[in-house]
Amino acid sequence: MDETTTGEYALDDAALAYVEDPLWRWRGLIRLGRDLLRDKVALIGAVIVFIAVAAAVFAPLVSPHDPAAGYIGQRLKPPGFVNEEGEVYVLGTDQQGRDILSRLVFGARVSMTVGIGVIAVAGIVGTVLGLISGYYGGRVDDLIMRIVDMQTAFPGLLLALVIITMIGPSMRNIIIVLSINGWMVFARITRGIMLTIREKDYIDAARLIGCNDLRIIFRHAFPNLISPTLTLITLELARIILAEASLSFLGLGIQPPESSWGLMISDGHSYLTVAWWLMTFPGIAIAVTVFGVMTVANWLRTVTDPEQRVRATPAGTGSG
Amino acid sequence: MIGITAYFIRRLLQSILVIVGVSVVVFVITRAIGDPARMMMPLEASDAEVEAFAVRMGFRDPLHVQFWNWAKNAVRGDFGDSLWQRVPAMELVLERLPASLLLCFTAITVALLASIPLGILAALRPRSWLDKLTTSFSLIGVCIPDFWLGLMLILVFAVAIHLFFTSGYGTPRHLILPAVTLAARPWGRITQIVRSSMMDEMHRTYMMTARAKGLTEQKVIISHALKNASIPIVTLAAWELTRMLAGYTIVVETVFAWPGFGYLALQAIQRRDLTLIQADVFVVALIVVAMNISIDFIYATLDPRVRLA
Repeated sequence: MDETTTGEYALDDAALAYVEDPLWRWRGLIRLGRDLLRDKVALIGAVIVFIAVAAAVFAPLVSPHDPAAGYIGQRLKPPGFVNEEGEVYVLGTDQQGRDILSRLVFGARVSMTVGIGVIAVAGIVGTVLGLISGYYGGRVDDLIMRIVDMQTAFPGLLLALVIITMIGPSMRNIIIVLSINGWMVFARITRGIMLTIREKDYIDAARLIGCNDLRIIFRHAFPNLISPTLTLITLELARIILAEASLSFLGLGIQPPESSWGLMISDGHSYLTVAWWLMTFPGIAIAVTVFGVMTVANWLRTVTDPEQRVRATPAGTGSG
Repeated sequence: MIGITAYFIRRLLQSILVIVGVSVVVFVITRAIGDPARMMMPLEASDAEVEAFAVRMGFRDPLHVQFWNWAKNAVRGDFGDSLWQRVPAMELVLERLPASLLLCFTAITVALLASIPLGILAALRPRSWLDKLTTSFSLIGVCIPDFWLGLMLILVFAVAIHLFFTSGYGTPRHLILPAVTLAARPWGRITQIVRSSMMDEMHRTYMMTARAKGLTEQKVIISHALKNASIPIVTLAAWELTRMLAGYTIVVETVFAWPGFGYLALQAIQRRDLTLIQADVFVVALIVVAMNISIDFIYATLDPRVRLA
């Protein structure tokens, strides 16, 4: 940002420095990492997200017990329970004598799978439609944006419940239903950005040297989308984790014998008065994970959006 | 004036489109996937009985004919009888409407009353302990799953100390726990926006003018800064209210067995009561559409720069 601007000579120098730096490709990421280390709250969020993702990926390795194996003899044991064989149950056992910590670890897998699934489906559909809408404009744009407007006015959760009842609750169907609810935000943000860069000179230049539409969209326009979309993805992840938990709590999400945080709360709530730990820990797991994801999203927004960066510094006055 | 009329007509047409769209989607889903006759008949019914029932109910007509018949009756206010309770479905929904409206409006009032003073105080003293506390609690409010918060509140305030009831409807002591549960998320979001928009306004030059002409600090903050910051605050509050009414009250109503249309919708869904689902979704769609139009009007009234066009 500093010395690259004026003069042919200075630019050459900077370009040379770029080529000679073996890490130039990763400079952006390194700077991002250094920023993260400086922001304490964001760092906590990132650590939480890292732990949740690691738990999801390595669930069979890190869970202390088999999440599905229960012994009726040791049901509803409080946190810190040690059985005769000396096995420790850090967070206690549930109504079937299964280890709660292990079920939480496997629950992370469900949350993350649903989250990534929905982001993949809704993100790709929404982004592609948004790109088409913003690039071509006119009647296609009108049509797509009408659909977006209309669907935004739909009662989302209620329709999700109706649809999931009819197609049957399963992980795949949860992903489908939450994607139906979530693609519009991606379409809207993509279209907005596309509209502003459509008029840029480098798009004209690309067209002049004979690039076709596909190449212009993906090679020249798409990179501009990465940072705003990244923020949106993390925000959506938080929303999806909460939505999946709600669906599972209502009995219309993940079905037993599979486990999910929302389902654990739903199961535990019958034992509210006798065993508080059944529903307390999964709730904390959801809240902490969502907190981590949201903190990372907020941080990403301030880091990637130069306007926010100015606002974050004190006395950043200007016209509204 | 012509602009506003034209705007209103266009919004009305759009709203009708949304309501028809929602109705079609729900209709197609409830009719096309799975056989409604099979769902409604007892499990031991023979295929011939199911078939006869389906023909009698009109389930074997082409889908568009079925929808047309449904819509024709719906316009006249007849949404069919609930398959579960054998009374007009719309009656059931309307019976439940006041309870849900009471819950949602109480929740948004609680959220506003608790968030505006805290947000202002936090904005006046950035980086103070009050600001840090407010910021973290508002974040927690957004992150906590509402149904879990409701259960934890029950655990503490109804089971451990018998201050409120675990469920039911009728007195303020019934209302407090579900309303607080539902208010948590809007409270968190509104507090955040009050804080950030107040901080933006505090640095504006008109604030200096207001102070220079000798207004008290209180007056400067309330009638200048807060007034200008109110646009995003009111918009967000209205949006959060819409979100509650559009279905997020279902979860909280279920936890507290609150007799509103959200809980009714879940019961209808669990019992596969197709007519009741349609009536319930229709009412919710009407409310959402009405809320969206009101948000636009509130926005235009608060900010004269916004033209309705």
